[in-house]
Amino acid sequence: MYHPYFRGKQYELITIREMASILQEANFCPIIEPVKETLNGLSRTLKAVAEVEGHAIVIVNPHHGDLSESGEPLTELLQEEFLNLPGISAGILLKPHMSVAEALECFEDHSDHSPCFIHAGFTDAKTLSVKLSVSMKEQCHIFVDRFCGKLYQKHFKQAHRVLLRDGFQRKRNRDYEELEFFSDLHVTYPDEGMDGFGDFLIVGDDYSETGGPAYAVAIHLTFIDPDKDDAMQIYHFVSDRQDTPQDPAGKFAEALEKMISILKKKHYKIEETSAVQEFRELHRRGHFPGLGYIKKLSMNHHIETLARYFDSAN
Amino acid sequence: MTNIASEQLAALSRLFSSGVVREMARKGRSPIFARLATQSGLCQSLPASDRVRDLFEAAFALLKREGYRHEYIYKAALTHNILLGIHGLKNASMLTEFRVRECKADVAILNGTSTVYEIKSERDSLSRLERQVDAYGKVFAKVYVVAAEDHVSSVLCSVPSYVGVMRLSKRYHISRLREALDQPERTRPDVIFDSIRTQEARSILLALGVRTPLVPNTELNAALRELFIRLKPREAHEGMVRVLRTTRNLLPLSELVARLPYSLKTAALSVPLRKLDHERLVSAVNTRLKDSMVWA
Repeated sequence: MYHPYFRGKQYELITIREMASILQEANFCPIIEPVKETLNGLSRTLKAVAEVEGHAIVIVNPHHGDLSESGEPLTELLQEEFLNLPGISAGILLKPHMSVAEALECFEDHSDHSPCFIHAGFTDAKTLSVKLSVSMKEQCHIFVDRFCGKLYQKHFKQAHRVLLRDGFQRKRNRDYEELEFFSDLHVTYPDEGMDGFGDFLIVGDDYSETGGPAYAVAIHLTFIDPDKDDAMQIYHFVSDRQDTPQDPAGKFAEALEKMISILKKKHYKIEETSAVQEFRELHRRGHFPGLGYIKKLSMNHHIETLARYFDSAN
Repeated sequence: MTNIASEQLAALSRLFSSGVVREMARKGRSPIFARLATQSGLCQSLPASDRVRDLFEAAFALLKREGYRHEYIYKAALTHNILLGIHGLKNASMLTEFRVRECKADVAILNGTSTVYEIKSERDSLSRLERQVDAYGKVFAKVYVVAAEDHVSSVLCSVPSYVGVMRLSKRYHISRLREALDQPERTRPDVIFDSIRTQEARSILLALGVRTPLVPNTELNAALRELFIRLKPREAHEGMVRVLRTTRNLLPLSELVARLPYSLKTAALSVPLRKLDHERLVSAVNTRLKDSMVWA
């Protein structure tokens, strides 16, 4: 079903923790690429997922961040703490210069953790699929859309297949149009011949270590539009002031004001999620909880919106 | 190496960019460093027993020569001579890339007063100087331009008389051609306010007995600004110096700086580093050159 792809920064991990029940009930399975050296946050998050008998995929060879040189600590963490929990599986990132032998070795090393592959730039689909073909039916293969064409995906036809597409157009905050198309993959993934789909939430696939000071503050909010065949759209509420890094709190208030004015309109299509309620409360109190916290609320909202969509469809 | 080819020069300069230091600190290794070390031709010309730190020192020695100097060399001269040489990290703070309006001040040093240094190396143009000097004069009590030999005479005629002028000599010494006037009364509270963080402005006001108004945090900046712009320039400036010396204190870096080679001290003082990365940076810098080549 739905696979939100997270880089395991602090607020991403908090989102998964807070959404653990909702993710489990909707049968959603987050993919986590850990990017921080300290694994306490990750461990706590996986325990929260296991607690509700949910699912998560942990990438054991991250491409970004502190662990990009060696994912050894992740393998150890899985072995030591999550061996008996079937919901936590190992994700193997297939990067551009990886050899088939390396991929298979990693697959073997994690055979206890129902390993799955995330295809992200690897090219030798043919050789790999031949080597894996014996147990292909039980495998899960996840394709990052911008790296994998239809011909590539074809090699893994017997497997459980998931397509990941980044619906988020990364721009400087000041350059966003207020309303944009986000994705229709939640509707169209069966037409793509897929068993599941995923995205990079409202953060996008681009990875940055720090982010630097924000000149404009933006709140991103997704909704599903029944008048557009259930395509997902995204609002970008951007502060009016954008020329200096000063006063993020005041700029947040400007962006929030725009969001609230949309919510006051008669036929707004935004789901009244717990995150939206919290935004309303922040507006009432005039309080700025920090940029990371706002990102968390937007991610929570995105997940809850998709969970409600699939809940009502069933 | 007598004459440096332009690609080599570019590689040498980039060795001192924040990206290299940040990468070594975060990962303990730097692919960018390995590439630049090869491109600069230095790696091939150094003895086999040398370490990463020796290559930085050799690169610095080459860049120090007249005609090849870029901003980092000037920053290093200021850091070594003035911050570390005269004041010490205990008695002064240094701000790098400090934003004032649409300009970014290269180096500012805060001790009893505040002094800003705008660098004009032989590779810089003077086109923005007038605007920069004007902006910095509204925040800092003393303003200096540190110029390359070729720029000195035109800088001396173009900047206002309160602005001091320095030259970086052939022998890499900083000489004062004209003293800057120390005029905190020239600063402007509104421009100071817009250059510092909300919490810093709040501390300045608090120390002057002005209480923080009870408003939601989204309205705090605007409320504090209203109070801050009523301060006298002297008060606002003095408060800024006092508060920023605490909030932008570099003393926690002194142990790290002591363990780094001369050429990298300035980089360590201007790139924000996490405490847990200090040890990794030092060990990367002490890696044997031939081992560092596998970083690429």
